[in-house]
Amino acid sequence: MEMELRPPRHRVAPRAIRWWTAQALVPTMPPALVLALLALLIAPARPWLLLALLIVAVPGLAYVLLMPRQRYRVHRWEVTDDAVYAASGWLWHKWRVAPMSRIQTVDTLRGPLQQIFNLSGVKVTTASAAGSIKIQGLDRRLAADLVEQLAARAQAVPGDAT
Amino acid sequence: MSRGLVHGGDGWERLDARTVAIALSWSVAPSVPAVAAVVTMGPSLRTVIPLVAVLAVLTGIAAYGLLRYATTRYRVTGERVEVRSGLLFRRHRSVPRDRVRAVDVTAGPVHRLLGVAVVRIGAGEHESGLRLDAVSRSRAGSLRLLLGRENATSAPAALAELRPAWIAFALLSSWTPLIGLAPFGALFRVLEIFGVEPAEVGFLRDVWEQATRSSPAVVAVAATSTVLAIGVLGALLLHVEVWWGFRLTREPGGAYRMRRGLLTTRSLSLQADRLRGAELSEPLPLRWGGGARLRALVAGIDPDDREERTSAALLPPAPRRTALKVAAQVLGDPALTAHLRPHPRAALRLRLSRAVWPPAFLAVSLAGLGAWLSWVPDTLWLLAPACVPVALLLAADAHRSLGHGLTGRYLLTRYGTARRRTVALRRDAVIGWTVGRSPAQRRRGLMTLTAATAAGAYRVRDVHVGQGLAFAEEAVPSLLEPFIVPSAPPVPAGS
Repeated sequence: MEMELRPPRHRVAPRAIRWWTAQALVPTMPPALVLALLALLIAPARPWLLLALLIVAVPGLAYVLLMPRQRYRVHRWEVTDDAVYAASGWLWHKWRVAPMSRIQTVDTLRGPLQQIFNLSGVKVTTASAAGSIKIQGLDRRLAADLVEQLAARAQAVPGDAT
Repeated sequence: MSRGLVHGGDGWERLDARTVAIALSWSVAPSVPAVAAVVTMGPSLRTVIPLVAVLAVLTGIAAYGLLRYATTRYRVTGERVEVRSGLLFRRHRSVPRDRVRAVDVTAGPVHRLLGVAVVRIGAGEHESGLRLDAVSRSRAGSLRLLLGRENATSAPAALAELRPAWIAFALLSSWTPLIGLAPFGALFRVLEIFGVEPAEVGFLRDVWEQATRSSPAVVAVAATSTVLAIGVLGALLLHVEVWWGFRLTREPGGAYRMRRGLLTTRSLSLQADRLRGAELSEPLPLRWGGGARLRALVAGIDPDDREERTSAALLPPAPRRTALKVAAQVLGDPALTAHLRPHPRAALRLRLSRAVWPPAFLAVSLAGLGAWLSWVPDTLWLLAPACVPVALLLAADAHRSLGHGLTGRYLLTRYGTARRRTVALRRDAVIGWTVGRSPAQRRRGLMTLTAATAAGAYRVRDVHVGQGLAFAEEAVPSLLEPFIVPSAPPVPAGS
């Protein structure tokens, strides 16, 4: 029988699209703006500056438009009695599962941009050297509840989680 | 000094007093030749300033060493190992004794001369490792026995000992050319520190003039053979220094103990219950010579940290057969020799299509160089197409290397061509799965499965989705099962 992974049950908050867009604008906007400004001011070099602007702006725009929507389609999460299950990525997709019994710490992630959009992330750490599971772009209240619930369950399981 | 830190109070102990001598050796030993060099070259502002800077740094290191000796106290109680240190920022670190995974006793030449050793106590999480630099050699031994839960009464069982013939494998180290280049790099660096132009040094100028007069081919051959000769010599010396007197034993308490080293001696005790598996790694030159390296996968030892990785080596580079034999003894299962399932043809096609890129990149850059620099022949880019067959062969080998499988207690995976690794990982050590799919993998129906453990993450690369999920489910039942569904049958056209 052919098998596949089903996507986790819950999507992240739709606002996350706006948050990811803002995140994408941070590195792509300034160089484009600087080049546009220079093209406006320095007439002799204008064709070259406009060419440079084109080279910077077209991929930048594609990234700003595509990445957030694609991420929203992929990013999902689910917590069962036994495990945390999360999908992330936009070009490279990643599905991660960690059993509840191996969870060591649960943290809230809140960057300045996330705060503006009233969003939070949840970071679930196991003893693994492979890093933690991050669920980004959740509604702030939902994330707080989730952290509390996960921390309580992780504590209920005895052992040093290795 | 505050109360409770005094020797004897509550069992707190100081480091060995000879640590002071080691700290002083940092500043005294290098100053003598440095001052001598400046005196012979004639003191000038250009040489004195760097000298003073270097000496200031070394004095700082020495002062730090003294301070550390003065402020560090440690004790071993029934349940914990504790270390207090620091003057302004006092640190108190404590590790439960049953969490100790590894005890590492190292002694460099100066330490050995003075009869002391550095003890490192590993306890899983990186931050909580304790380091005692330094205690007397006998104290190091007793700490090792105490923390390693060993009893010194019964004899340990030898698993492996160094054979002189294994030194041949040292020559197959991929580091050999780099070792050959190292002394040149160091020489130019020292000249730069003291502001000396290489052209001002007499013999270097002679060598350069000779080189510019001879034909480029002769120079290339001479340079390559010099570097390789130094590299081979360096690799041999390094091998002897690191692996001299190597012995792997199983201690009566169940720990594994490795001892090695000529000038710097090293003894590492690993708790058997911290062992999560083993990795056989075969860098290409070593593989051609029929050799392999063997490493223990230990909970809490980071496989990406080069020093930690070497410290968990179970064998020097040795014949593959010996490595497999030792692995079977340590794992209690000849897991590494088990049959591996091959990976799909799609994985081969993925590798073949990737193999074309490096030669293409090489062709473009060589053509660019040819157009830009007059002395680079315009036809040099033709070298790149000649590399294509090599790249395709490597791709085919990379596909042949891929494999995964299961034995009683272990899951197995093999991948890599420049360094082929075969990993046997305890199935009960898996604390999470990651399924990753790149755009190219999605087009071809492939995925990469990563098993996360406390001893690192290990990948099963480029398997069919169904194959990979079935493998994960078989290896660690019920972890992934709730999230697996039968894949939707292809929708017939027109329905």
